[in-house]
Amino acid sequence: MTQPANPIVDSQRLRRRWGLSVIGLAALAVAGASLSLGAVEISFGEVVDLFGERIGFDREASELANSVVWGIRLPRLLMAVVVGAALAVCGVALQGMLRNKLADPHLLGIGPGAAIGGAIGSSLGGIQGAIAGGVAAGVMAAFIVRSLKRRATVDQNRLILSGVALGVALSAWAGFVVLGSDRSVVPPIEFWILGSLGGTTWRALATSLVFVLIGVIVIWGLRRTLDLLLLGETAAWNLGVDVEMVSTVLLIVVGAIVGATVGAVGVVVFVGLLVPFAMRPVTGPSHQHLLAGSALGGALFLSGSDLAARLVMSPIELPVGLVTSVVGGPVFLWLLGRRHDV
Amino acid sequence: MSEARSFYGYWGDGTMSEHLLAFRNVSYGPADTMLVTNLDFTVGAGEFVAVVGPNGAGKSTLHRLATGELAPTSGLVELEGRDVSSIPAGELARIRAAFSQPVPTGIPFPARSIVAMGRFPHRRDPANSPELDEHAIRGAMDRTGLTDLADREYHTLSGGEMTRVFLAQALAQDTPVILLDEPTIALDVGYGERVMSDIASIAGDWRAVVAVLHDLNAATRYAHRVVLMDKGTVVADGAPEDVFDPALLTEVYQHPMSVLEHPTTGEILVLAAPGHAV
Repeated sequence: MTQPANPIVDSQRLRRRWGLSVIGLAALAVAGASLSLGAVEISFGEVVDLFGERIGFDREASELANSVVWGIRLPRLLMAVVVGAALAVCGVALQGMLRNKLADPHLLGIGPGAAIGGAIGSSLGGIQGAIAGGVAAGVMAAFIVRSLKRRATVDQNRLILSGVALGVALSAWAGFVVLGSDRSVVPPIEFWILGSLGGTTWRALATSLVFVLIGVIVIWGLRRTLDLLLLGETAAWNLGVDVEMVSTVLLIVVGAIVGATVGAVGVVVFVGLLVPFAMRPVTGPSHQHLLAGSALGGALFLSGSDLAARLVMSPIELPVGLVTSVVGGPVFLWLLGRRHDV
Repeated sequence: MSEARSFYGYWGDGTMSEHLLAFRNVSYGPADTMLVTNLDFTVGAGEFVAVVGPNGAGKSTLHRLATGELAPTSGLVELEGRDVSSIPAGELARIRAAFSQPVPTGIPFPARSIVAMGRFPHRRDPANSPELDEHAIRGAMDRTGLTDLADREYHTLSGGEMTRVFLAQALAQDTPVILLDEPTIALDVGYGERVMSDIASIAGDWRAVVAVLHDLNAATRYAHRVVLMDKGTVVADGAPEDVFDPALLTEVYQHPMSVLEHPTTGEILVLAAPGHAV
């Protein structure tokens, strides 16, 4: 304790810095590529000109670049960043709250539940209706998960399996709702169960961003409490954590964030599960670093997946959930095989 | 940590009740099988009370009622003169620290981070400061012999070392009331004695310590007062030499017990007869 240098803490800090720098650079590269590549190729120089023009420099970009980048690609990129970060943060929050690294908002049925509300909402009020409906149904689904948790406190695997069963059932109900509603206003079932960032508008981005921002701020405020919950409920209670209240707050917030993303882009699986799992070795277990790192990692994962979804089979655009599953499944299995502390 | 008394001014602002912990006719349990019945006693500042008794006597229930984890079925548990169930969790953690077995396993933090969590209840206290946090954490780790293990990952520690981490966390919490359930059960003799004498000295700082103990001789050596429980009730409460009566112990433990005087120190020694009870 007397010597200030601490090799273990230092190596962890070094790994965190390098890891986050690499992820940050990769995210910037993906962002540049997302704005420039696609059916209409726009040179990177022109993208730079476009931003220059917007912030008042003496630059000029073509009308086409303006409408494609500003009207289509930028809101879509930002939506991928927001949704990716949001789902990863929700994964971290649920995993901390349930002390289970396999917890994930979609796997536990919150996403599929939100899809029902999103579909109903979109038939009533377009994209904003979808987001509002998603939020309401997401919070309700979160409380169903809470009742499962009460009954399964002893056996955690039971909780996950109950969540999976709940998710499958709710997905089916979402299918009934979608098929029974007006096809001209409600997006098709693929959108709800596989997700898509196509057609993202600034309005959709702004609406979901409100819920995501408020929710993420609340979770960030609970970062030390999440650390304490890793000690178990009794130990956390002894240290002054009102476990019941914290669980309720977290579930409302996770339900609302997930609901807002589902209303906007559908259910995109694997982000909440894979990103925290992959980030833990980089950031360490403390939630302060894990939340920040996972937000960055989630933004990279979803924006990269969306870029791939647009380009891989161009001109056909894949649902982004297909890409996250194709990439996420094997990577997750590989991680499970490498680490024994799940 | 003897300076600890000045940290928060618990002692001297005149608001403190005479009793730090009080059980007022407390019963707990489902109607037909009460786990504890009519517990009625108080613990004042400076007292180290050992709670002893056979398995199933209700010792751990008493502990969990005192921490506020369980709410009494009838009666009232008071900390600093206030009904425990009316105190919010965050405030409760600045009044009482609690330790219980088994300690959690599989926590992905180094030992020092877990001890430092004992400072969480004070995070918004205007009287607190990073220096006080550091002082309390170091003092607690020093007392439990963890200084050299500070950077070790918790899951690489032995069972006894894990126990010491959570004892240190409770000490770092720096509260007027300290509640311990079997603090020494996983410790070897050396650390067991060290922890017990530290607990006794902490009580000496005008705190109240209530420890559930298995080891009757540790209770006689360190505690000022022994509460003997059997079948959910208190059957004796007083100084160790008064409570540890051979006939009473034989009846409570359903096993022949004798009480001797140590040949050199004069302390009393409680001995169980070998073999089965008759």
